[in-house]
Amino acid sequence: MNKRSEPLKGIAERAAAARRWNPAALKERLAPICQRTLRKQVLQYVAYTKRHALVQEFTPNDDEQRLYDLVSDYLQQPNLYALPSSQRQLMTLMLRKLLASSTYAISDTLAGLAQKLESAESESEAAGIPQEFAENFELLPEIEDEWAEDDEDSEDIVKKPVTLTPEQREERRQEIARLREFYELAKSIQRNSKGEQLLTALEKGFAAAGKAQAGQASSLQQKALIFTESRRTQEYLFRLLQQTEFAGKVVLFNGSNTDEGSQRIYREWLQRHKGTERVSGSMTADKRAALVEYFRDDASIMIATEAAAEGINLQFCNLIVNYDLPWNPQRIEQRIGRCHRYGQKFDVVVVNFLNKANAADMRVYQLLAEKFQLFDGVFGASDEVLGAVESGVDFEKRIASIYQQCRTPEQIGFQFNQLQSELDAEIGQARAHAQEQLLNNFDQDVIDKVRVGSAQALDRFHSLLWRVTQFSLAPHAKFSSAGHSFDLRQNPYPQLKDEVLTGRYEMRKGVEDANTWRIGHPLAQCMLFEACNLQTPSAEIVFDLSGNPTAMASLEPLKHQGGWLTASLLTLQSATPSDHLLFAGVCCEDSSLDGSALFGSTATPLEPVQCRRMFDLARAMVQAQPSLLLQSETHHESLEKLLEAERARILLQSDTENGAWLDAESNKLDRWAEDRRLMLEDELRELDEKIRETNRAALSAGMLQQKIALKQEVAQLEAERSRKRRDLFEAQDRVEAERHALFAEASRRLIQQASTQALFTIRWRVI
Amino acid sequence: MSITPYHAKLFAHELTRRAPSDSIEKLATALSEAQVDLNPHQIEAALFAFRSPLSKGAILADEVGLGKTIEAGILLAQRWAERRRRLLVICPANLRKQWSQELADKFFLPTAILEARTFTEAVRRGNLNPFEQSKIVICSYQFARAKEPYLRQTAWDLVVIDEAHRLRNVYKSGNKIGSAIKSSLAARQKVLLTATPLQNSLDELYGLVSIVDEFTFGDLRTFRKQFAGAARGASITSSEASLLEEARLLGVDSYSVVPIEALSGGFKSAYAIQRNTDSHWLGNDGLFFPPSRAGFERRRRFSRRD
Repeated sequence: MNKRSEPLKGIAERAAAARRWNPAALKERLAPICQRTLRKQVLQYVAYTKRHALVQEFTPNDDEQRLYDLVSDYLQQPNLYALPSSQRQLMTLMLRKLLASSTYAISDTLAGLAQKLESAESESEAAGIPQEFAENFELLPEIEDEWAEDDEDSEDIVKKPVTLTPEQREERRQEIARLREFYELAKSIQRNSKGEQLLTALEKGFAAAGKAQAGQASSLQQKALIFTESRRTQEYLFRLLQQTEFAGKVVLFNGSNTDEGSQRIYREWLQRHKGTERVSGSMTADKRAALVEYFRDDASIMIATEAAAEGINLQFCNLIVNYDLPWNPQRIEQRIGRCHRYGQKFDVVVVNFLNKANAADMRVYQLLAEKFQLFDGVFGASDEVLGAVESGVDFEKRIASIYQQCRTPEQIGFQFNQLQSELDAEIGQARAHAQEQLLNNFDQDVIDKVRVGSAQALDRFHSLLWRVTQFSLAPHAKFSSAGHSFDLRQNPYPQLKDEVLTGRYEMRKGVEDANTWRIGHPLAQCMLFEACNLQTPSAEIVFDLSGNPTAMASLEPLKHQGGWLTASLLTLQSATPSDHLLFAGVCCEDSSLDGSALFGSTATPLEPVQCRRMFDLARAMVQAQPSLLLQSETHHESLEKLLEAERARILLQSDTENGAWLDAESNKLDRWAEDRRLMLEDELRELDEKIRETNRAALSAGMLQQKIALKQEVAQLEAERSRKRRDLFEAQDRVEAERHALFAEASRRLIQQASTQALFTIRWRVI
Repeated sequence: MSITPYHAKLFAHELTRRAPSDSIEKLATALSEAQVDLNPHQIEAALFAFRSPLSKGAILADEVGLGKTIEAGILLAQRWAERRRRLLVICPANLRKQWSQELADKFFLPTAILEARTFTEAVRRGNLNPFEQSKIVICSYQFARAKEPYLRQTAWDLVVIDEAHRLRNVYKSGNKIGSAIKSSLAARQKVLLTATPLQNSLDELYGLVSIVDEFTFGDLRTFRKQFAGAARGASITSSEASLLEEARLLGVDSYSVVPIEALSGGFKSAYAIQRNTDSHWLGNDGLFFPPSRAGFERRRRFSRRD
């Protein structure tokens, strides 16, 4: 009721919040659910390189400037037949971007617009956006999506066919004539002042990029990635470069990749990689791979449209040329991210083309470079900065509207100053600070442990996979003496004939000219399934302690000893099932092992780790002795007992761990229930306060009528309070009941069903 | 160096066993499938998300460029290896292709981008819920909202939500995409990826956390009471502080009334209360700007009146 006091109340509340504000408490509650790492925390193992910005200025000639002014003027008209209101924003953006890109980019589009108007059957807005626009300006559908997202709730405007009046028809005819005139002008401009600076820009860029490699590279890598938003500009730049020293060293990359050069590159690539997994079968994907490979190995320059370049990795290139510049800072970050990413060895040079005669262009660039810091520094635009403009789309829209509204340099200056000061406010440090204060739990010790632990786990994993592979595929493949690779001669599993290629396999990351051997490979999956189900009757296995690359200290005492060993698989079924390998073994004091008298009290138990360790020995062989089956019976009981103890140990361990998780869950639920209770009590407290307030207001009210009204209000509030008080206990009980139910559900999920599967029992001997 | 069938059987079981959730071995298969060098913070993040067997998921909020996609990729690859294959990635439309490519290139994971066209085709081919298929499904936020009932009835093993800050306003009633995704996936395990979980107010963090786990915080109201104001550092400026201090020194209790004319003009404009100057009273919370010396006595008189 007292709205007018809010500004003051706001301060008081903030002051109260500041007193209450306890980041530690919130941080603690966020800790189990939020994880955040900062770039500065990983510098020791991620080597970030820097980026440097260079500007390539140009000044349009008179014809170019005239075209720019004419089209810009046209776009600022309030009503245009060619750009109906439903498409207006989007098409205006596209036309402005094409206009800034090159005369080649804009000319056909102008003609297309004229043609669209001429051929439209209905004279109303019916006509959609011509297909060829999206073919030239590939970002169109994407931007359309992005811009539409913001108005997800706006209803579609129902379009009614409108009949034009004779005056309107005349206007429309004039608009077509204007578009034709622009087209003719654009077409007549053969020389682009911007394009003429390309070689200069490349020279400067290569020099800077070369300097960044100095002293670090064995041979200089001369590669440049040129970005443009228009396919027509892309073609123009290609023609331009064909007349220079770069002729024959330029590769194109765009949404369709149907030009002759790309087709040829693709065919050659197919030839080269035929029969390997590199060929995915998807022509689009394969073409992209082929073009990237060609750029890496053969070409010097790639001219790419960014819509196509999304997601490709070009860390072997450290020069980026932004021939035209997107307004969406996130898109620029994406562009630069193609090269300035993990794996880039050198500093990355970014060359930006800038129209000196265009005040708005200059200001946009200034914002992108200075406020967003896109082109300099180690990390590029920081999250806080990019985040400040929401999705980047807002910023793009904002820029577009400035271009649309402003006609004079003063207006442009004013609007940009405004935008800049808004950004300054948005890009605050306080927020970033709060974010880090709350979310960061970086612990170097934990990270170090993970690094060592994961490396060990991986090594072990690969060595196991390799040993099984050697065993299982021996009849079907030829193994190389060096490295983890083999030649698959025939596919052992006919059911996999479509998925398994014969030929060379290598077990490592980033295999290019062979197949990758990995556990997820269909062949590996089949092989492992088969190995899991191998017949393993009791037998004697002789393990050889000699000739191991690493010392096996725990096995030394077993030298010249023998005994029994059994392995089984324990499965714990719960919310997250887990499998555990159990080992039990005994050592019999005498190595001769052949009389039944030996078994019995003389056997001493082995550590489970010792049992497992035996299988890590490099040499072992089976001594087939079918009669052993009988003898193992005699030892069955003691092995069983040991196995049972092992089983109990693992169950206990798992139960203890789960108990700790359950405690954590219970703690969380307690606090949740506490929150709910607080809320219920808080409602009451607020009512109390409101009653007091209203009472006071009634006291000080001058008019009798007003007094009476306020008193009535008090009575109502008091009634509500009584009701709430009665409800409070019930509501609290409900919260309690819900908490119990949640806890019961959590406990249920942790209850384990254990089952055991025997794998094998062997007689062992260590020599 | 050759092994016996006993070795092979043992090793094969070791390679295919499901490890407990809190161990690095849990991720061994995914780590070994990865075609990029993984960084320890990425592995740690992947472990973090489902460290507790009761976990409903996590918000992975690394700064840009630290490989959140890879962290999610590890989790997807592990689920895939465990043959839990109802996997979904929700991301902005323009990143769908990139996700598809990265999962294929880096983890050999097959994906299908689901959009209006592919959805209809799949239905025509006889799959009445195209969200259920033998590949990882990738779709946009809009599509997820449009097909909410299908999303709801699929028993997802893991849902990855990329650029999740787009859902940060989920606590507001008007946020349709946010509430559709939150409610239809409430029972599923989720991983939210965002570099900026906190942009404008702490409420947003509350919103994101509530998508993952509704029982971490009570409700928004209590959350605000306990923690609000933090997003901007829960601070007041020094001039605001002195203002409050003077109010306290003047001994005005919190229900005093103060005439608007007692306030200095500077304060009025500073706090944009001009629009209310037609009324006689400013607030009843006892907080007001220290007026001129002359106004002091007048205010005293007024405050005694009640």
